[in-house]
Amino acid sequence: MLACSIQRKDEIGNLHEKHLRRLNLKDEKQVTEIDMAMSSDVSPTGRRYAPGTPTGLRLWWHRHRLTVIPYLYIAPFFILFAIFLAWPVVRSFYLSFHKQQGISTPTFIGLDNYVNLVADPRFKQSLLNTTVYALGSLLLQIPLAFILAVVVNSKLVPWANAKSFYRLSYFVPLLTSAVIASLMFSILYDYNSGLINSYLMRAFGEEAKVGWVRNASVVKFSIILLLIWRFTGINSLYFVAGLQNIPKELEEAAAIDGANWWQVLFGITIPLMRPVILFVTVTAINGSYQIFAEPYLLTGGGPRDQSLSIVQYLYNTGFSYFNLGYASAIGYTLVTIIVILAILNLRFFGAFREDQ
Amino acid sequence: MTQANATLSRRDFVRWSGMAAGAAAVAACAAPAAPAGSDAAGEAAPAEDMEVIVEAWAHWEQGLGWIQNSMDNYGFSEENPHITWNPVVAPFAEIHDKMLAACASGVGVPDVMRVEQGRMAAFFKGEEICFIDLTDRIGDRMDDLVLGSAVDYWSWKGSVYGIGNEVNACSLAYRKGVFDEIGIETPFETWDDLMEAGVVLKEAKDMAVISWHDLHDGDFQIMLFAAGGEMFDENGDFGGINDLGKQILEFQRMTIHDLGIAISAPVTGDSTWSPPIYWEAFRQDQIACTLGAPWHNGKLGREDKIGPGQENEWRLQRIPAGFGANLPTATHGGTSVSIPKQAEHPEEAWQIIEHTHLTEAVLQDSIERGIWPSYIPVLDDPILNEPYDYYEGQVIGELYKDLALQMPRIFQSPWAPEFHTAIQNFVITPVLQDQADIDAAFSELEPELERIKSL
Repeated sequence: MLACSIQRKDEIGNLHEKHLRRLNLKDEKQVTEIDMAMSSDVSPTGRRYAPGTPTGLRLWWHRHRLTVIPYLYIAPFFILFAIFLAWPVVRSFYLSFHKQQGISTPTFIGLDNYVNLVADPRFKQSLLNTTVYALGSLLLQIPLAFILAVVVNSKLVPWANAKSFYRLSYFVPLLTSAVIASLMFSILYDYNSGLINSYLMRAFGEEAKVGWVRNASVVKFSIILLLIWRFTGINSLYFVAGLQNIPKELEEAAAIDGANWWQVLFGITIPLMRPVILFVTVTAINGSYQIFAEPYLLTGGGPRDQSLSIVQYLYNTGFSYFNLGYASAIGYTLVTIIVILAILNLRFFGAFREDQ
Repeated sequence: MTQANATLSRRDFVRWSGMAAGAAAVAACAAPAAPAGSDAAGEAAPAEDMEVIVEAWAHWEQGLGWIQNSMDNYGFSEENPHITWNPVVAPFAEIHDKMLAACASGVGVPDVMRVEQGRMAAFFKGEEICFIDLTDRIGDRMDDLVLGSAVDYWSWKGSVYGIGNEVNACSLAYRKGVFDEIGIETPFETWDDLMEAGVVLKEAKDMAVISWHDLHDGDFQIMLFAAGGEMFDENGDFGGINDLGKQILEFQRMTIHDLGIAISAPVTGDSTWSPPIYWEAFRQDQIACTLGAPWHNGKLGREDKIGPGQENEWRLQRIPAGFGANLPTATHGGTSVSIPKQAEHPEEAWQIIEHTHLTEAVLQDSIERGIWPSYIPVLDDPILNEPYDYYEGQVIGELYKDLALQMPRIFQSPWAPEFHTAIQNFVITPVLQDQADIDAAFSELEPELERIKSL
């Protein structure tokens, strides 16, 4: 069978070369086309060509085209990625070690931008604020999302249509743009005519009014409430998806062994949900440290920088103050913080354990 | 033609696509066209009849619309049919950010940029300022401008980089009807008079005489200028850490906390000067006076201000005396027209600016928006001197002309945005909200300002 195949190939090769000579074709393109058509299972490298076959660059192309062409197909993405993402990332890293204010030539200042950050009270305040937002996500938003998911997945919501309704409802706040959500909350939070204060006033009198976005000691909580409204639903959906993947047999077996609902929840459900909890925690913390639109639109970072987020400070430094070197240093510090927190989370949830 | 020649093979497709993409990339990476008229552009300047499109950026439509209408209505378009105006409008932060990016990259720069005074400071940082110095172009016509409003915010180290067309002469608007009811004589000569009136007003009507902005340094700034003080000195340093600044802050603090006759301005976190709820407080009879420039309190009868319901009750007056030099006014806010150095058509851009800002054509904006121009020769124009019904026929144009001619000069600072934030965070808000000690607040502010400068 094999011998027959080899003989057949030789015959085709000979016929091919005779045919080329007859046509006296010198164009490499035509040679290649016919070559491909007649002997597609034969490697182009190592072939002997008749006189007039390509040399130099053409020969290189002829030999490597099958390797090169796929790269050409995927090149547009990588070119755009390099120009619009990779280059700015590299450039801003370079700038973070330079002083560049306004239109000027960057001056190398080593680690000065990073050293200045350590002493910068506004950066420290923004870091504190952002950490409070992250803690709000961690301690309020994620537990709430999990509770909602457990309820939706339980027999308390027995109908499939009702479960779908809740899932859809959870998604709506995320579909609302940050601008609209902030506008809504600014109306709710208004000191004189806001809905929340009007209820408080009706119930407890004028003194009960709260400066939701004016009072330095309250403003962070106001932002956290907005974040909870926006993101609890989507996190809940992740949890619902995770809960639905837990085999019912395990919970049933535990129940048969006498475990009550709480024991099943803490002994079976939550441990099996660990990958989902890890994902939600990492994304929530990551998102919290990158929060920008909500405080920017709701409070502008005030009062007294009490709601200023790191990204907002970065934006102000880069664009309002036009201090590009310092803004780059803030950006890289933020990246470092997020990476460290992500690693800590992964370790905490045992993501690096070999049994995973 | 053979079949092989007529069919486009995949190889051909890849080859030609690659060549096309390469050509496009080379074209995209090519240096931008040199400005018309520059040496690099060749010897010949553009012909008179060659169509020139002057691209202009601003953060609000009317800010460019009046210039177009002014060109059409005051003969510019007729005389220069080859020059057309192409307005590009984007939200406030976006358009200024775009301008910074365009300046830094040198690509996609407009011919005219309307720069809000608060955002101009960023352009004064660094070795090079990306706008054309207009000082010589304006030349002797400087004498025709209310310099404090027209050029000072856009000037640095003696050079002018933009012209603002509005005279932002601050005044005090007071609700005369309410003061008349309780037998208080107006206008107020001094801040002490206002304070005394406030005590009676509080007693009689449970109404605040004024509201002070505790999340914005605007009131402090206006009063400091009117007292002859400097917000920034010629080197861009803060000039309010002195007795004058302390007296003004102490007065504001006292009226809120000791006398209870003033309140914190009802504003929102993201709009800390005069959002809709600010004006709502006036409609609800909570506040009786407001301090500001014409764009703020010039025409309180507008729907976006107090609006219908308080006709004939309001009046305008000069800023009361009582601090420092006792000047009757100060400037506050404004937006320039500036020409970027990398503009494609700087000469045509200047022609438009010259026509619309340094001739009577500036009145177009008064007709459209009711502003008072910073160009002095037109301040007697009947358009600006009509009685204003909302103020019971007061000719506010006369007041503004009087104030404009006494407008104090000011300095801009390259660190203005950072300094304003620091002043608010370290001084204004703590003093007006929490009654912080003013000296202690100033002591904390000083190193912060130095730190900002060192960055």
